[in-house]
Amino acid sequence: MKTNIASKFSALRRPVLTIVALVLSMSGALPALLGGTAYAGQVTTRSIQLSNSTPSATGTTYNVSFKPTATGTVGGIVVDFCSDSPIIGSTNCTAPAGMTIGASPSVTITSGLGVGGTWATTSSTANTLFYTNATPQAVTAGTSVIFTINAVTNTSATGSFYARVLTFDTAAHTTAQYTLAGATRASTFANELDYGGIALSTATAISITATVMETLSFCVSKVAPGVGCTGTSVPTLTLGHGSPLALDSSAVDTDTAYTQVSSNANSGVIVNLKTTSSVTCSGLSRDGGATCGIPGKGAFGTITAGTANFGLNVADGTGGTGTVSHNANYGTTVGSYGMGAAAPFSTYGDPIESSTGATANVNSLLTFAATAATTTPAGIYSTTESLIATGTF
Amino acid sequence: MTIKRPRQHHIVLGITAVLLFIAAGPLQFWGASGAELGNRSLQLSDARASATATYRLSFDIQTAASLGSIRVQFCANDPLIGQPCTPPSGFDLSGATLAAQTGTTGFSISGTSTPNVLILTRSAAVAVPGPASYRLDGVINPAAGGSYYARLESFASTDASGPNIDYGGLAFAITTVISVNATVPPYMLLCTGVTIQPFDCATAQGDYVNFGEFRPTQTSTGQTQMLIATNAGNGYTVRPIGTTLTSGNNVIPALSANDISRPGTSQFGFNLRANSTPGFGSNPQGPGSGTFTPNYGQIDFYRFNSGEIIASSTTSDDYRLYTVSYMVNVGQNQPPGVYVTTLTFVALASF
Repeated sequence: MKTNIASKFSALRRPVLTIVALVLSMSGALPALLGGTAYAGQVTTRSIQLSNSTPSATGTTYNVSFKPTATGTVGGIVVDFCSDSPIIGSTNCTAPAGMTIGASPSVTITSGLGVGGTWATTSSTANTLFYTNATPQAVTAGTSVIFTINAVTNTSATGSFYARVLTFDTAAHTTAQYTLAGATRASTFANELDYGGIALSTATAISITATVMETLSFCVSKVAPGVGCTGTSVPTLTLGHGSPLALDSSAVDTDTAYTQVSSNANSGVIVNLKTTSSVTCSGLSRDGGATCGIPGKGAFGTITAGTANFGLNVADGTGGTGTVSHNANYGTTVGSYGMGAAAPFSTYGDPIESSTGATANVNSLLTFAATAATTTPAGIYSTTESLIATGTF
Repeated sequence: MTIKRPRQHHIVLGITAVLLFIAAGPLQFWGASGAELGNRSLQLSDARASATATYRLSFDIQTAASLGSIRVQFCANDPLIGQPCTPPSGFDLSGATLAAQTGTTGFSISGTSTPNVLILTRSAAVAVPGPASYRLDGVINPAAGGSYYARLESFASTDASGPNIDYGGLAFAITTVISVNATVPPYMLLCTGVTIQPFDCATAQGDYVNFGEFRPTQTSTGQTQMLIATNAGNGYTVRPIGTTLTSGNNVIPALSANDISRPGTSQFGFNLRANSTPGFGSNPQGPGSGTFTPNYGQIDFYRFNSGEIIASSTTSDDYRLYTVSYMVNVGQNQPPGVYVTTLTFVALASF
């Protein structure tokens, strides 16, 4: 049995040894095939983040990040952008169409890489960054090296492109070992420390269009309107005191109404008051404006009982969003009123309040007041006021 | 090769045409090449539903391009150009006239306008960038209150055809009016007394004038006052009702015609003036404008006819304080007695 066994082992001895020899040979050659020195390693957790992935976008920031495999010093970093592959050692690197990192690339170190000495981008090309320092700077294994390449113009092509990242021990070795000849690259690089490939992509930007249509909501109500001009009532006002309501020279009687303005007019809204019952009388008339028994107050001021006057006080808007302010002819001292200082019966009326920008659901209190004189002819007096809101968009 | 080259060329042109057609689709929403009109506004002269109003359309033209027409669509649904437009119910600008224009001018209303689509047309000329305004008279407002919209576009063509140049939307509102009512009740103020402080009826005092003892050689005088005010639009009249002085069957005759005081002659009368012979009485006072009638306003002349108008005003009148100046003379043959009379002053207001 021993003989037989020995005989079989002997018979297998040659092919086994041959296989072992090949394996050993392959193991020795592997580092060379991967394009690195015997102690080089593939960086981990590597990435390049783009601030804008739109093809041909300019001013894009590329945030480069990777973790060195060993603690030591680095004298140079190469970031080579290729449209064909990220494989380190591939002898071809076609520049991404239209891409440029700039004639004098701008790089900013964020963390993980020493900032001593002087880092420079000398020898860089449109798609290859050489970032070197005559004074090698420290890196720490497992601690991310992060820096940004600024003001990059993206490739004009949509889709994937690649970056090859390599680190070298010295600045001199960086430029000496990572040689460029158009799209041709060396297959191996002496003095290389770490390496790694990264895939990037440009993509068509998503265009989002939204149209905000012009809006103007304006209502007049006897009671304060709710949101969206809800809950309004017909603004029919009666001035007087006693029962039934009567106007005389003994008091100034008032009644109120509200406006509500909502608009996205970027230059605001102006509300004009126009007397529609007369072309000459801004006050109250008992005969449709032919005579003006209770004239408009005129300039903003106090109405005195017994001196026939009709006026309006406009309070600044409240509630909602935005600001609606009174016009000086109509507010806002409580108890004072104005009417007809300008021309409430002109073509477009007299401004009483306005906003300077967008508003929503802002209510304004309008207080109408009147008193009669002893000589004010008896009768039923009235006026109608049309409030006209004009937005400027 | 000479045959293939033209075919390739045609294919390229065909593809290009298709791409342009596809690309042009989204542009049709806002227009092909223009800009958004600035400071767009529509000012109404009357915001009442169904009112006939003046519309003042204003905006800033952005593009200095050849401009031949402006289209304004009035819609009830939205201001978005290119979207279906619901005409506002009742709105009608078919009777509108272009009353004024500023900025880029020379327009008239196109005959192709409709009740809710206004087309302003002119011979195409380069627009003037900046403010422009167009005033339309005779526009009938929508029939209901609420928000409405206008879509504005300018065109190189004179009929609002083809791609627009500048564009924009706006909104306007139709609202109810505020009705203000007040009732001024009629009043007629009249009070009498021997004295009344200006001008307060509450201060009226006395209702009895004592002339004392009549003597043929001396004129007897007395006075009362009356305060009047009214808001009667057509004014008032004041009349005395009563008799002359009597004592039983004896009478001091009233002056039925104006006459001066004649001591020794029996006479009774009064006026409303400050007299000099004898000196007594006062002229009317107060802010009112009412005054005596001529027969009772002559100084030193007196008169009395029951029911005759002694003072009046033709309009509503503020406080007016009248002084009634009574004059009595008696003759030598005037029978003795206690002569009395009661006079009632009646004011009649005409509202």
